[in-house]
Amino acid sequence: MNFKMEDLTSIVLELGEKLSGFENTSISYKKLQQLMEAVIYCIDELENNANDSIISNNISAKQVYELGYEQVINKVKLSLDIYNKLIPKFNGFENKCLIDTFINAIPNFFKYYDARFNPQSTILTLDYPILKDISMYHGVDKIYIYLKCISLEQEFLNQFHSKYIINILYKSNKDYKNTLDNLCYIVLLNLIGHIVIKKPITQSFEETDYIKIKKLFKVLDSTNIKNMLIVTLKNYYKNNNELLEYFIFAINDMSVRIENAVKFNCLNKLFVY
Amino acid sequence: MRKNWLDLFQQNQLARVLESNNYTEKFGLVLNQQDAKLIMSERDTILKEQERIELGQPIISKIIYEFCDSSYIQQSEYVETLIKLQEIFYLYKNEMSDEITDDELLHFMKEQFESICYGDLEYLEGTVLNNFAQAVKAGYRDYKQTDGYGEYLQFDEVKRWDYELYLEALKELCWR
Repeated sequence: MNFKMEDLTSIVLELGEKLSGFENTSISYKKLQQLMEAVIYCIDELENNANDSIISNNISAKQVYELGYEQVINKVKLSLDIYNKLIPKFNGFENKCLIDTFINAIPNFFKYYDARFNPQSTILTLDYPILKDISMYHGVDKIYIYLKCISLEQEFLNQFHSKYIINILYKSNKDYKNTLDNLCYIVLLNLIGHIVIKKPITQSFEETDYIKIKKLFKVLDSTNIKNMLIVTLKNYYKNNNELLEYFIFAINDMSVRIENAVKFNCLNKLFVY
Repeated sequence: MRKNWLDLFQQNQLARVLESNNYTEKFGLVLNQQDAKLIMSERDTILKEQERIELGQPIISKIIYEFCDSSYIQQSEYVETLIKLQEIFYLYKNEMSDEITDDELLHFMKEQFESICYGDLEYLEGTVLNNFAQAVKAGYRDYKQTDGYGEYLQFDEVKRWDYELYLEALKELCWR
């Protein structure tokens, strides 16, 4: 959809009047820019999410904006649904960053999000890092994807006993309660270690296991390690495509770390339990 | 078509400014066509400088109605005063990040112009509004209840005239 600047400007000015509550006769460029971004965000939201039947060629910019705004509101509701479903089974594994982000920060998004005048603002810094890069997203789009990722992480972590997870986290970093690392990454790496040498996860790694892992990866460069990890995960998570797709985001980083750990003989720092 | 519309809009705004003469002439203040044009052109410059746009009615009309009964504004400096007030108004709308409405700011400005500044625009801009803007930036919002009236004394850093002390001194002087 290509609209003329005049079409968008009239929506922006209308929003400006609403924002000022008809008590101000002027508005700053900064506010206008924010409102223009709000209009574009809503229009993009419709373009990215609605099916073609909704968007006909004769539709005006104002109508597209209003439909996009409805999409934004729907996404807020969807995000809230994900959050509410996740809360009862959420486990932060004593990690302050995860607990703070999920329990304390996310509700503030729903409290302060302004879909009409500032939908492009994410409000939160989302300090707990997830595996997927979501830096290109803003506003409710970012929160929605973030919550879906946290949901997948919780699904993965809750497969294991809480004590088992905490044990791995502790062995990986004694200060695991204050770490800013992704918890899932550490556990997944250990799981991969067990899968490749076919060892039950209940048994911790021994010296002979590190020799086996080294032997396995020594002949491979990071690209081949990456391919091997993908195949391993595909076999293990063939029934859970969503989780598999999410873990793929961590594979690049993992393969480089494994390659280096093999090279410098420190596999015990990666595969901790 | 577009040019005609803009011309019409500008003429309409000029007419609105000139219309205020009907009210202000009883205070001995009148603007002619040229004055109004000058004020509107200065407004455009100030708006550009302060990076703002006007949404509809020009603020100068409101400034005129608010300040026309001031005992510190004479016909001889009427235009200059209006231009300066317009400039100060936009400057502090930005300084206070639009937290204050047009009416609240104008009420505050007028009250201090009369009672604290005694018509001194520099003092209004550099001291009084500056003190108030700092409070607003720090989160002060009580002016919402008072519509901008009676707000300054709590931010005033200067000890003002003490009428009781003055009367006491006067009595002493006269009766001695």
